[in-house]
Amino acid sequence: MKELKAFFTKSPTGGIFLALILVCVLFSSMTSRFLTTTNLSVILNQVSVNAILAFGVTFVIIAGGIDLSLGSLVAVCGVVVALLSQNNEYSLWIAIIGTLVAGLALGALNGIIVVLTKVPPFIVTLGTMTIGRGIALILSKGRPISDLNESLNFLGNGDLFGIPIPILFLVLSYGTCHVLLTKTVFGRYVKAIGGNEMASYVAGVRVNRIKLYVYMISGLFAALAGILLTARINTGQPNAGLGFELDAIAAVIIGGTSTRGGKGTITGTLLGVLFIGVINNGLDLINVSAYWQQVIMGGIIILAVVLDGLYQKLKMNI
Amino acid sequence: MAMQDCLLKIKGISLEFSGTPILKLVNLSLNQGEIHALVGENGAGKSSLFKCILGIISPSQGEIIFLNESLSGYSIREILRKGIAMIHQELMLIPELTVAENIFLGRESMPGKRMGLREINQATTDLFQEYDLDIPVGAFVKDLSIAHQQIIEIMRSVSQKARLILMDEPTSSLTEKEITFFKQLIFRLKSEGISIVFTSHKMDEVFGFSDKISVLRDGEMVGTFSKEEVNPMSLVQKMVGREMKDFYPKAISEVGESILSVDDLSCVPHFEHVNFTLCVGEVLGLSGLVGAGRSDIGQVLFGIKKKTSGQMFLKGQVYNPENPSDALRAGFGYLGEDRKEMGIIPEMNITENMSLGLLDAGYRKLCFIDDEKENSDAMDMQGRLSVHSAKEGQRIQNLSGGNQQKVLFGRILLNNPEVLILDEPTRGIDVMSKFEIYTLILSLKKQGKAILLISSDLPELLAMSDRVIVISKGKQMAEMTREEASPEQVLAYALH
Repeated sequence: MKELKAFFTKSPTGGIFLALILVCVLFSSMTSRFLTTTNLSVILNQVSVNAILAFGVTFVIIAGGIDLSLGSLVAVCGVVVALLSQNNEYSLWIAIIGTLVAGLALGALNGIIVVLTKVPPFIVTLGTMTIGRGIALILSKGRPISDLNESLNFLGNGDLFGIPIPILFLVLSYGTCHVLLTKTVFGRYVKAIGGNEMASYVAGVRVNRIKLYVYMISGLFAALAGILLTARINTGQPNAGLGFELDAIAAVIIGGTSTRGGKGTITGTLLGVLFIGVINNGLDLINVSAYWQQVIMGGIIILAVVLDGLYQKLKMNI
Repeated sequence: MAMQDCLLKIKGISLEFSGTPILKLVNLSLNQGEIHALVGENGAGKSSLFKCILGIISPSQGEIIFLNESLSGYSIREILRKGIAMIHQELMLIPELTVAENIFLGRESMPGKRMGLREINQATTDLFQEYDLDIPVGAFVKDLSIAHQQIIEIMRSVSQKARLILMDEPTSSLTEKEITFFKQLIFRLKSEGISIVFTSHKMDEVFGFSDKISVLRDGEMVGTFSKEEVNPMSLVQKMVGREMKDFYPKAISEVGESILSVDDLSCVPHFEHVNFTLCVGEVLGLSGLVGAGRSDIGQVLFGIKKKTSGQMFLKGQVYNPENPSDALRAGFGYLGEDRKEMGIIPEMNITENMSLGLLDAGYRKLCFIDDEKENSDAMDMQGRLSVHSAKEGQRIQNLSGGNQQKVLFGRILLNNPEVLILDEPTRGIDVMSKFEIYTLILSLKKQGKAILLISSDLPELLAMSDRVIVISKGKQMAEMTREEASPEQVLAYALH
């Protein structure tokens, strides 16, 4: 009991965890179709792409930056993996590795521009967002790419030991990012730069290098998300991923990562992703129209952040 | 004392914050036209007392009476309108607006009259003329010095007809020359019948400016004294509650051979043609006004700024750091002038702040952090430097300035440097921590570290340094031994 209280009052993710439980209880009481193994698995499967994007961009946001190009990177990488796995020309491995390298390179482009030009990352990635969308259209000649390798389809729709592959990727990404952020020297530097860039530089942190790396991580996870998305729909869509960056960033912020940088957790991001996913799913189940869902979703995002602010204040007095 | 002379009377106010008493039955009274110094260590309750007067927080008991009227129940806005103003340490001006616009901010349209730009400028010009101020009213605040910005804030209070101005460490970022001007200005305000309560850690100001001095210690009012009743030594004793033999500790230790030499070093436009050597076990003081180029010399040595010409030699080898990491690896340690800007990572705890500089070199296992070694080293260092924290894992932003500074010393010392560059190591920290840092500097000197000490606090610089170099407008004016250097002489060179 004591530990439970400590979790809710001390842990930075206590607030969002509480909120997640509340909406789950709410939906379970409204419909019996919510709390079933199948439905929970559906939710996890649905949120996997957003989760993977959100994990990657969490690093960027903690380091005090932002990456708006995510959705476009998903499209470019989705098209790249489709092209590489069309007509069984290359093996699946080559297609995947090639796409991940493309994601890293595009992320590095963001990072290099941010570091060299000192232009605010909001502007830089707004630019590369448009560039990326253009590249996706050029590579695909504006048309969906189909006739993909069978084994790619397996990545999107298959399962291993009964667990859908996208969920496995979600879990794997979560673990990797969590360890990277909390246990490694790199993770500590990311937080330090977001907390006080000048002080980190003076303390000997290679600020530019770390900044470059966070955008590369964001690009890498965008590539992974692109692969999973293309695999799931079995086509490379140049218009895929529209607005994905906003969902991912919303999840990160709901998860308690400060937009000013310096603090945040991967667990928080995961909870934020689940929170958004559960609400979307629950509203579907209770037959709220898709139009109203958007209105409700937006309101909930603002409410979640407001409540979290109040909760943090409250915590100070406990 | 006649009743109408008494402007402010604080009667037995107490304040608690989540169970911890901050102020305990504090009394204070203040007359019209009185300049009152409020001293005490950081955390003694000075800012809390200010906040109570301004109505930002309300005390759990007691009463504050201003002009024979109790202030309880009034909002901050109403209290401001009654004539109490505060000058915060971080100035509250809008950089993108002009001087006049800042002074009249929020008052452009008063009931019955609207003030256009012309009226605002005219009113500001009149005000400045009255006080003999030579600041262009149309200049943007961002283009002004900190000292001028502060004057503008004071003038804003004056134009709001403030009867009482509270000032939180008003001189902490001013140079000697600016402080002299500041002193004239507050004496002028006094002659207009305006009362001032200010906090300061500098004894010469406490005694130079004030009519009365009140001492707070751990939330309790030790007492209010006239200047004649106390001297700097006895005042410090009252602040810390125990006796301190000598404010600047003394230790005799041998100065060794040269370790760092700087040959005709320039960093245009900050400084030019600087020459000096620094020896093992020596404290070399770098004196000069703020902006004279002293801090820039430290920054070039640490690789933060690039030299434009000249050379640096470390142990006879050419030394030319590209960035701070190079300097750290070469055996340098650096404490920046501004703790908030160049030192602390506010969201991180003591351990994380200390280990930041040594993660790559000392606490890395593959790419992971070696928690055990990190924690034990940081705990050792925390004990060695007696960093006081309320609880384990406390974020550095919640520590007092003195403790933050000790943590930053810890960061430097973990790296075991040979040359230390300390820029304003005691700025804005309490008396007790100052004393501890002086003791620390001397013990480092004894261990054979070479120390470049940059400070605006002249008594401190002269007491701590073996030799002093004076910089004025980017030029090296003089080099003196401790015996040769007198405050008057150093200041004369600095103002040259």
